[in-house]
Amino acid sequence: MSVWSLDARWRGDSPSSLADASVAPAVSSRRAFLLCVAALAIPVAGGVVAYIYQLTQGLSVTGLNDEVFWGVYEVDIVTFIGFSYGGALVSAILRLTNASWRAPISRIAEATAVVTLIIGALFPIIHIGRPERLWEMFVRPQINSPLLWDMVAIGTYLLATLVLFSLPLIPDLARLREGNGIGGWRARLYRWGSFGWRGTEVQRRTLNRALTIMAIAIIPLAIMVHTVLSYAFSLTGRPGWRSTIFGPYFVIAAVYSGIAIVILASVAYRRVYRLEKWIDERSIRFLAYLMVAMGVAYAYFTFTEVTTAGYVGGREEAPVLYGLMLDRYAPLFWGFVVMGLVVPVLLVAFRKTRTIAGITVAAGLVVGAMWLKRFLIIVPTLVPSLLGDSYGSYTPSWVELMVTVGAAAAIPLLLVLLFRVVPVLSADEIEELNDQVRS
Amino acid sequence: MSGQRIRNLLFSLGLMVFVIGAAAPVAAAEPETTTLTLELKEPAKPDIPYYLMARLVDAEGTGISGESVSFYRKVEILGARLAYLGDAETDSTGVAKVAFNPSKETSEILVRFDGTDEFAAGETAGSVTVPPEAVSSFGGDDVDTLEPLRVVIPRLMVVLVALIWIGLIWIVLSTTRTIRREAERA
Repeated sequence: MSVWSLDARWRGDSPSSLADASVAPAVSSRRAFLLCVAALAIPVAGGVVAYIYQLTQGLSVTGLNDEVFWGVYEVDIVTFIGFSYGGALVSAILRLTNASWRAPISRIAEATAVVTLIIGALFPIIHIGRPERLWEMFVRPQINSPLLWDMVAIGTYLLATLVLFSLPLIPDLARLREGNGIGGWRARLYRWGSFGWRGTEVQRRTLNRALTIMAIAIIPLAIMVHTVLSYAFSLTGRPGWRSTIFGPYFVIAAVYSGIAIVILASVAYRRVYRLEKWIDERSIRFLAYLMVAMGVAYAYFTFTEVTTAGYVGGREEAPVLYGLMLDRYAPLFWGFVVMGLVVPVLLVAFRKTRTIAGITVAAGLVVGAMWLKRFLIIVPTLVPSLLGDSYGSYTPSWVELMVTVGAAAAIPLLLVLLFRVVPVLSADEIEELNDQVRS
Repeated sequence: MSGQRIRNLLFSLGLMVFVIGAAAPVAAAEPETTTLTLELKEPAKPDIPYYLMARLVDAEGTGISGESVSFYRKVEILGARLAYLGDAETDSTGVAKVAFNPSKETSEILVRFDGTDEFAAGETAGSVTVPPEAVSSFGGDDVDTLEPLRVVIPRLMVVLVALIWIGLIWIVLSTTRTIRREAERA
């Protein structure tokens, strides 16, 4: 098997075979890899330093206060865990429906689901003032604490996404265990991780059955995780959050932004490693269609959220709606509507802009706008005080912003590190589906 | 009286007027102290509900009318909570009352007045006891009837989560074991 390298990529070459393409990031130039890791590690290190500062100084270094007790960290929890859902959904639903176009992006989708969930799961810990007491949740669990059930739900979902990511790796690691030009500890890992895979009928049947079960299981699990997250808001009885639509509203938001992040990751790997032949435009386009469908559904839910609250016209809801749509947060809200809902849909809707570049811009807008939307769900609701006609205020501090930027940079960093070890393409799946299409 | 003494006297008087003048608006802004008391009014005849009555009075013991008072019952469901029973407005004697369907003989009641610019907030708690025959087997607003769920639901959730974890781990172990066994056989 020939080894395609980044040097060849500089010459404008693409990997000549599927096997080469699948390990392109793993065998690329060590210098380029280290440069990439260093560039991403800088903001991550900045985030870690900011968090250590917060640990030593307490939560007073954040913009949180008595009135606005949830801020950017809560936004990050919902956003990053939401990203994870999109990856899991793309992989699971498309696997169950045996959609052939899923194969080139399934590994990236599954890896994105794992990585974003790990980052998202850190934020409840970052958000609490005394993280050294976390162990007490295990030894003295309070069943009426939403934090405990958040932890249980996220932990269970993380285990499921790890399984969904790991099992399809077995045949691909088997392809790499011999003669792929990768030696040392990685070769030993491939031998161990392939479990002696030979591609026999029994092995394939066993693996496919397990993956089908996992694909079925991960969908309700993901829904549970994201509705449990929504309960942290909707069960408080707070005006602006006291809504029956919050469960599906959060799920749709998660899928919408999750698909966008899968598109961004797929396009990035496609371009950097010249994988155009393998991650074809069709797969990206179909993902964009899914994203748009979710976008329209999310627009409907946003419409429903504001109109139902406005229709009831409760005295408590009025200041929240007024602040969101007409006053203090109106520029952000309408900015979200335009940049997060209208423009992405239009970019994908028109043939002229339905290109890889157009879809990438749409996905980038969705990722940014959905972070903003979570901010608009959380902060404007907390600003009007429940104790009368007073208003609180919240401006994220540099600590919160640095931690957030660090966490955002940690996603590509972990993906780069992960795909330095495991194949970026599910070569076995691609070949299997190609064979099915041919036959 | 020397001119110096007169000036000192005038200065002291001026200072007193200033202090009293400055303090007066603050003193006027202080809401008046209130007192809440809780009573249970028994029904005059069968089929008429019990009433929880709260009397809100000012510092002189005069009833405060036209203010809203909230009634809660202390319950245990997934932890200690207050079950909202209702709001009522005080009448001309300062009495507010809500109908009460007791689900057990002794109930812990909390009454709360949130306060206004004029009257300070206050609350009182106490237990009310009714005869056994007055206890209704089920009240639509009675969260105590959900008490068994407090035991069942958390355990059910723990079992469910444990089953999911076991299932996931089993899938991994059984799949990898079968693949390895098949490899050895081949």
